[in-house]
Amino acid sequence: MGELLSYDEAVELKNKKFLEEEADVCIIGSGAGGSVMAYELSKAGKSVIVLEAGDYWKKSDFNQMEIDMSRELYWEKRQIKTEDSYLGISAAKMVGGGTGVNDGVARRAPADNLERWVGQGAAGYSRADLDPYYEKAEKMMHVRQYDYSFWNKNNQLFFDGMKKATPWEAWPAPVYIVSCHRSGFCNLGCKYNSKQGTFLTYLPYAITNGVRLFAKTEATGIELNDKGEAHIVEAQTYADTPGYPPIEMKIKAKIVLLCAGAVYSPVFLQKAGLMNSNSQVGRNLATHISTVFLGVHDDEVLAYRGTPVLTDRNLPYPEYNLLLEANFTFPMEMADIIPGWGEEHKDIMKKYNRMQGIYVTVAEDAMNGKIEYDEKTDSPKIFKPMTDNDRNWIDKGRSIAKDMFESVGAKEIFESSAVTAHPECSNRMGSEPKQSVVNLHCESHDIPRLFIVDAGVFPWPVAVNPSLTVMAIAHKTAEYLIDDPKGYF
Amino acid sequence: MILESFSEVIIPSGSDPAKDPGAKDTCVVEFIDRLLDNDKVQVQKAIKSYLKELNRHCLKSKNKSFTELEPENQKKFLKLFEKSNQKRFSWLKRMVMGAYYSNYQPEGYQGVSVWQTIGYLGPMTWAEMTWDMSNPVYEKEQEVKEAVQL
Repeated sequence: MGELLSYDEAVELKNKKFLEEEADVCIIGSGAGGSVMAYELSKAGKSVIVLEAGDYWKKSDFNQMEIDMSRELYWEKRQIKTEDSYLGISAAKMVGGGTGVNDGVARRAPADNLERWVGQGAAGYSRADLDPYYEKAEKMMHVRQYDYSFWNKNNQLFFDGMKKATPWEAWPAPVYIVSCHRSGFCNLGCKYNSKQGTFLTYLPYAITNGVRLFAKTEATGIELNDKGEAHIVEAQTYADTPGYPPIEMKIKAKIVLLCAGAVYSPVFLQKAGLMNSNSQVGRNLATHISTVFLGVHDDEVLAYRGTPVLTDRNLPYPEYNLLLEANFTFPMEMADIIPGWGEEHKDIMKKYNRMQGIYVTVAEDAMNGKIEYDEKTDSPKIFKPMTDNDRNWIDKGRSIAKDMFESVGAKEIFESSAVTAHPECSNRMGSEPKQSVVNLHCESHDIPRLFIVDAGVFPWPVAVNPSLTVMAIAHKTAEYLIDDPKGYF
Repeated sequence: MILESFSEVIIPSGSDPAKDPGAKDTCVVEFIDRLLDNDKVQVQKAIKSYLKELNRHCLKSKNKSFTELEPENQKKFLKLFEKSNQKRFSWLKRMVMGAYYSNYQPEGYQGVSVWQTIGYLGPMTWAEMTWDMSNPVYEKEQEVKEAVQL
């Protein structure tokens, strides 16, 4: 039986300076993609090692304090600002990755959205192709929905407003949240184990299957063999005791899976000087550009309490390229995204507990962003200009949000600066090596035996929250690897 | 000193600081210093350089350091600095806002908490928790085949 690093191993590890391991598969990143791969491949009898830069968190470790959890659970304290300071991008850093801190929304991508994936050359990724894999993920993640009566006021106002003011009806959101305690702290880690991060679902099974997971272990590079194939993963693992230096690791593997997310997978590759023969690594970034609209009511809304997102709606494409959802955020982030400062800003913040939040997201935004590794700051530099098209969509969304707010009695409306939580397409898949980073089986065009399985491989933005689609792609890729048509194992 | 003056303009005190504290009253700079002590060296250097740059701009345009300006002129200067140095300004603003709305209270602080001023309850207490297995709301929890197949 496999295990997280046991106490005896940890003690032994502290005394080592160098650790050598060998496995069939080495996975970098334990988020939506990495967890599924670890589970499926270990179930098929492969030996698997998972490296996760973040820490392993139990429910009792989450303290619901924004100042603490934003620093601990995310890269760059929860906000990587784009170079024009216009967008904030979040990337999780913990065992379970983004599934530990997202809102748990688990929607399948709409069929017409995936038709556009196929149109981008991603044959085999239609809705019909992915449905069996979606089903696997939904089962494993205990996806369910909650009734209107369970929703907090923010969600109910969203639903009522859409019904009164628009031709559409909001949908109940499928979520991977079980017996929700309605605290509202999904984005800071669920201290009730209600929100089903993959560290509660796929990973425990994976570990039972023999997977070894090294938390606080950062991959630093990949050595290639004589044939230019991925061969050895180099990493540093950190003992927790002060005064102990990091331990160098080398993991020899037949297959390397890079699942570090749409931001940190390209950063890793660029830092390691790998696979940029076509300059596509880190390019084509889409981010689900969003604007938060806030309506102030006379009475308390307490939008931060209760399950954050239980209703949303994709508006019809192509007339509206928008996803609207009921959502809200905590004071520190809210203060950051509300423009302005001084007395006026303070007065807006004093209305915090009477605010209702509607997130308006450009569902398929321009793939015009790029990610570069900045050696000076040892962090990503992200460029994501907002196009006129993006602005036009947000304008449409503004008008709809305004009507929704007014129909449910909001007295004032404020608008945030742009935010985003869903970077994607930065290591896109495709059959043309000059225009993509990985092929349709998620294998690198440049480096055989190196696969990338995270939201970065999307060939086109997904029109919904991406985690379920990442899991579906991971199931599909695992199936391919288990079939082993190239004889890698 | 520059950071303190900057934070006072970003989040000013109200007419009664005990009931409407600003960044100065809640010693935001003290908290920022503690946070930066634990931050990457690159972050510490970046913040120092942004503050230096702010002051350099001020000296160039106003012939005075930022701390020497009157509050009203500090406000005017920051509005211009924000436009011309969006990235640096937004970093500094975010740092001050984050420290303030983290609800830090220095030793001996007697005023209302920042969270009280905005009506934020903070972490959920056991007393507040409404989870109850016998609560009929939980009986409506259901599997969701229909909703996902859109």
